[in-house]
Amino acid sequence: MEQLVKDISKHSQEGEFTLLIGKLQSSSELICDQDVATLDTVLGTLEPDKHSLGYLAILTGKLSKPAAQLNWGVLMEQMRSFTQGFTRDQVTQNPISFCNLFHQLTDVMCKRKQTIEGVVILRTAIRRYQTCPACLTAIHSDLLQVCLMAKCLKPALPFLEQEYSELLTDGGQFDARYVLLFYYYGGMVYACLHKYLRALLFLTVCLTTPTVAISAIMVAAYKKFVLVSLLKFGKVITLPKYCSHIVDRMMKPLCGSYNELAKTYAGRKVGPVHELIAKYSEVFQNDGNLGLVHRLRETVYRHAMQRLTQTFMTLSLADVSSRINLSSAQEAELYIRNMIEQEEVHASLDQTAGMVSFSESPEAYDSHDMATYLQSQLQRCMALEKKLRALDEQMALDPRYITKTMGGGFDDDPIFHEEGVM
Amino acid sequence: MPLPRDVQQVHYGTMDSVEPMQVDDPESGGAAPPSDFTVEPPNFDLEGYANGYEGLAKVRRLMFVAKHCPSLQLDALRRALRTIELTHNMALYTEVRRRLFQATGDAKYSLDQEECTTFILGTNKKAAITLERLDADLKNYRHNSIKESIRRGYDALGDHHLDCGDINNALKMYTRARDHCTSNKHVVQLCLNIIKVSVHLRNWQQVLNYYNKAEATMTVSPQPGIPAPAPTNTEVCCRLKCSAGLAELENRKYKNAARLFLQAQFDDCKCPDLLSPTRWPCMEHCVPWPPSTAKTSTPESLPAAAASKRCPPLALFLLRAICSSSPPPRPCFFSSFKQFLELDPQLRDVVMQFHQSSYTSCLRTLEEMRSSLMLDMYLSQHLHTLLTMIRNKALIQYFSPFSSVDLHRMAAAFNTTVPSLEDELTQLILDGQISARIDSNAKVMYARHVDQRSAVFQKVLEVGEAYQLRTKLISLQFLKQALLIRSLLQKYDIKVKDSKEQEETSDSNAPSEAVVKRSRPRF
Repeated sequence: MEQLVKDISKHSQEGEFTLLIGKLQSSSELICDQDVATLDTVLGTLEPDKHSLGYLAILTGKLSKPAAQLNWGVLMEQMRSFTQGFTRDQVTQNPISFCNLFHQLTDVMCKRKQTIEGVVILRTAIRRYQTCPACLTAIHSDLLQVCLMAKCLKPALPFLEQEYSELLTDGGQFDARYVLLFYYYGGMVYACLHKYLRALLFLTVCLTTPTVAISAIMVAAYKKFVLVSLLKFGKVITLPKYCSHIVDRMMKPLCGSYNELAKTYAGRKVGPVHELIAKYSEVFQNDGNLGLVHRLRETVYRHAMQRLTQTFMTLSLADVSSRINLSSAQEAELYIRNMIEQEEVHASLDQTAGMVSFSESPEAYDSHDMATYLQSQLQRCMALEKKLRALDEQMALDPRYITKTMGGGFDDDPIFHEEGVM
Repeated sequence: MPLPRDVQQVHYGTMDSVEPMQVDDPESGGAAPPSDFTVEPPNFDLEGYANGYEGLAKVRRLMFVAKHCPSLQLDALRRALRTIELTHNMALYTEVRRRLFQATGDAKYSLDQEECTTFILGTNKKAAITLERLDADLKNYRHNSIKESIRRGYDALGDHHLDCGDINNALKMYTRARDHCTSNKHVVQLCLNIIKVSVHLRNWQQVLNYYNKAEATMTVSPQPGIPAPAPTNTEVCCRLKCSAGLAELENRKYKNAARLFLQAQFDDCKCPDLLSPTRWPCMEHCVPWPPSTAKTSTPESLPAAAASKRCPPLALFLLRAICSSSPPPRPCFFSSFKQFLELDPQLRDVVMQFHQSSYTSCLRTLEEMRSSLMLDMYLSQHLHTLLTMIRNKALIQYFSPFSSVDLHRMAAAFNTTVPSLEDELTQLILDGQISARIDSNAKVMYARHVDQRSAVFQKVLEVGEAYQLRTKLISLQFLKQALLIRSLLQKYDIKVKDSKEQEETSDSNAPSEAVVKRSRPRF
């Protein structure tokens, strides 16, 4: 063990990182065999900034120990000092272990359900590990997972709103799983915050990942997609065309109860929807979607009410409650009042006559605010279009793309080689 | 942002997978049509009905009537029995006899009767002999390799099988004749035969296929030197149209069926084993009904019609023509249809009343006719849908000239109560067929005029939002594709020098070229 420590300090000083990595990997068993106290002393001697790789290896060894032996406070302290102190250059030599450390940490924290401290740790780690703020790493999904478990969603928001333009791929060893997880958890976070449109965006991104095999993450994402889409629009939106056909063929049949729910919901009859929810409540429970489903029960009434506004100008409250299957006129009044306040419907209540009169949307699209809003939307669309066109050009000039479109047969042609592809 | 509440409707894809406000799709809601109903139509003329048909169609229809109308059961079954005795179809014979026995309990119809068994055996023997003979003939022809006679041989065999009630074999025989067809006429004849069999098999897709084939063949100019005899040609045409129309009806494509039936000419309708015009009440909504009908089909044509067109009745299908808002068919079709209508004065009255907007009497007559219409084999499943469609169309037409309508008066006009009328109208409004809103307090319906300007603005905002979302999705796709490419490159054991997406800097071109040289990117 002492030999190892000496090696660590020697190689770190001299910058021979590959050698160090090799040695650390071969002595990983040795590290794991040591007991916690020894590891702690070793960690005490090492410094995170100078000996990042070594620190990393020892910490990994420590985390692999059963949870009962670990002193949680000490561990957290060590993690904190590591994340605040590690040297990026050193760590990028062995990115897999670095990311794995955090994955393990997340697992341990989730098992122990003590995730609040993890939020800060992971956040610092990400910020320091990224090359730039627009860079997505493997650790992002861990942060989201931890935030969700801790029910503390605010720290995750800046990461979700960031527009990512690169992936930190760790030398090509990035596992696509973490991208899927990132978007899946992102969708969940937004669904919790009632920002359904954004949630749908994230879940769609997850579902449109090119794939050739069924992924459990994508199946779960599809189920949530159905539910959120029902909550927001009252129907399931079609996925974009470039979605892999695996989704259609294999995943949709796996979500039978959700598809049924979507169909019943489209009928806008409150009774059947409630019955179906009661029937499949176990399934929803097991998938962890019961919260969303309960919200769906409430929104059925809203959507039914909106349908009424399309057909009636005035309606008595008793009629409303009978058509939507509410229990009484008072409840109908309550619902309508809520909806008016949230601006989901334009109506006015007449209590003496027990009537509600629906009116058209008063928006006349002729105010200054509306003009500015339109203008800003236009600008945004144009900027997006420019960006898309730049991406398209980039792709078209990519040598791999050109080779593929021209057919791969030119590889053997020596002239082609000499001149280069472009 | 002062966003109107409806802006949040964002369309991700081109078409939405589920219609937003669909409650009960009337087309598919009838997916379980009543198959075991009984009706007691008053004044149903069974003899007239039965005399219009021939052959297997007649028997089938009579059995259908027997199944669903207890009062006419005995009569229908007896007629069916008489018809079957003339054919070689023993399976159906035993069936009908058994039913008759069940219904009457009369020992005369029991299957153990000696005369019955001898009759059956005798007929079977006769059929077997004919079959042998035809088979031998066919072998002979094949030996001689004369195409025309081979074809005729197959046709004869097919006819014989049909007569015996063995429809599958009949189809087989007719299809085998296909290889031996030499002229267009033969092809058309073949198509007709196969269509006939497919109708009995209720294989509507095949009917449509062969109809298309026959149509294609007939539009090809006839072979020079062989003028097609004019009456036969139009007769064939008419027959084709009828069968195709029937197929479309069964597929619930009412508009197409209506169009096809319209194209059938009255004078040439000679297909007794399929349909008949004597009870072809059709409702022609789109075409304006000239009040002064030039009675071309005068009394003398009626007996002529009755004499020559002993065709089986096809009842009431063009009801759907009412409901379709398709452009009115050409007047040339209309004249022949007037002739059809003359054969059924009750329906002619219905059509006239519909055009004159006297919906009360029109709908009442239709209701009265409903029970007798239910006895038609092909129509019964669709009758409910068709009548609902007619009613809806009447409602829409009633409302169209007004800007506001009192629901009480409308309910009186349509023989219904105000609440049920309200429900019907709600459904129509949600389907988008009426553009109106109901004031339930005063029970008035107001026409709704959509403000184009605000609709456009709303749409613009929606489209903008959708576009932004879609673009964001696509740019994220690029990101994911990069990931995929990198993992593939790793598979081919090539290291990517820089972790950023390439082609942003010019000096990354060198490693990318190196990448291409070494790899064989067969993605």
